[in-house]
Amino acid sequence: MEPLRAVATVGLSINGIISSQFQKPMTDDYKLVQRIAEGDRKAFLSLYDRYAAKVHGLSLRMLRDPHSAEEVTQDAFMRLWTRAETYRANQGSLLGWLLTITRRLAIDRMRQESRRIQPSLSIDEDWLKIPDPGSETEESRWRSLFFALRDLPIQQRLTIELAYYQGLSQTQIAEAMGVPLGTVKTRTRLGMEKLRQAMRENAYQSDRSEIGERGVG
Amino acid sequence: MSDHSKEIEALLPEYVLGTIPAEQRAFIEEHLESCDNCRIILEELLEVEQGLLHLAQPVEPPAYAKARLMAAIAAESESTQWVDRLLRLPFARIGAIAIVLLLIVTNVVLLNQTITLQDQIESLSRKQETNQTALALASNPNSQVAELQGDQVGGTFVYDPGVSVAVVFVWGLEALPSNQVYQSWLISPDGARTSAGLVEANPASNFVTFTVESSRPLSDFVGFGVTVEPAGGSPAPTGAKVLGVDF
Ligand SMILES: [Zn+2]
Repeated sequence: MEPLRAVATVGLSINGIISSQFQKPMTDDYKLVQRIAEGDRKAFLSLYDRYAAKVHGLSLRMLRDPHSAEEVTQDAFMRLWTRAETYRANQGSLLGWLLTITRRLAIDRMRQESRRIQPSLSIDEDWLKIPDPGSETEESRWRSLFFALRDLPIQQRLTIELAYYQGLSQTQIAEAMGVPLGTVKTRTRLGMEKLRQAMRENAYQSDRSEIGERGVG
Repeated sequence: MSDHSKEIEALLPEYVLGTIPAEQRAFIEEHLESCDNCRIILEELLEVEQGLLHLAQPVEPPAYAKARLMAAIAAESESTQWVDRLLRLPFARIGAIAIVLLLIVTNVVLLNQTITLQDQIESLSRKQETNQTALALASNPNSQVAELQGDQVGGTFVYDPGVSVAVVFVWGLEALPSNQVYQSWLISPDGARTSAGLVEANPASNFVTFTVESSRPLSDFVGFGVTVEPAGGSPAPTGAKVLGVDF
């Protein structure tokens, strides 16, 4: 009896949806969400194919465990399926809405599992993705933030990452890093202020993308 | 700008990151109502907060995660319709109840370890409980997922090789004229095709879930396909293939 194998690798793309995902304007997302609210599973699959990797990437980044991350990814898309009618286009992009839900679910899960007790205190560069400058959708907006975060003093960056991606309170961060609470608050403030300025001025974007292009060429 | 602005500005980063204590939160929100300057800073910080969500490296979830999700929404929709008919309430108010029901059903199926998985799946399938069969299969760690490929049509074929039942999710099947029908086939190593049943397209959603049953374990087969056949079906495939997968 010949066992069946390797079937899960047959292909990820359905009808080429993935390859065109970043060209889709946001209005298209909104139409799909309206169809999902009416129970249209094909519309749901289109959005799943378009955004599952982004949602799962964030889940994995936060939970650092494939099994938990898969469940959070599934829960986030179940929310999209059952709560699509609550999404409003003026709340921002659908992807932003989905990622916000994902983060909340991931933090709930960390708290349930009490895994905050062992926060990761190292900076892992692999989880960061340089947003694509050529993208016509919202992705390019985050380029300056990417470079600003990467260039933060490491303690400021770690403080922000522990709070945002691992859901730690300032007191817990102070304990984890072995520094006074006041220091954590100062690092948070200084770091976030730099990120805000970077987004505001978009100065990093032009400077760095030139360096990046020279580096590649 | 009021007297508190410097103090509030210093707290806004924590406010945005969600680490602020509740009493300070109320203090900030009260101030924001009357201070344009702090509100602008808040909006910029919220932009940073949104951006942090987008920086994670995308990672495709495994194919079985998609099959499991589709099984869950298929079951969720079916229970929704069922409860809907029963209680005659609008769809939106039913969602929460339906999920609870789904979870109960799923847990009963999963936790009942006294009979074998094969028995569970085959008995569910005999009772035509497609979605519960799907859930049982999709939640089973031995299950495999084959992605069905076609032109403008796709799907997943979820099965455990040792079991003779599979659940198939297909999207994109167009309705056929009344003299034609979709028929599914299991393909043996010698190329022989065994009918696995007729498939009815669903013009409302373009989405179909059905179970495939065989007299033999699915590991006896090397592939699966769907063709267009004359109404009533054929003993062997004669028409165009719309979907297929080699295991
Ligand atoms: Zn103010």
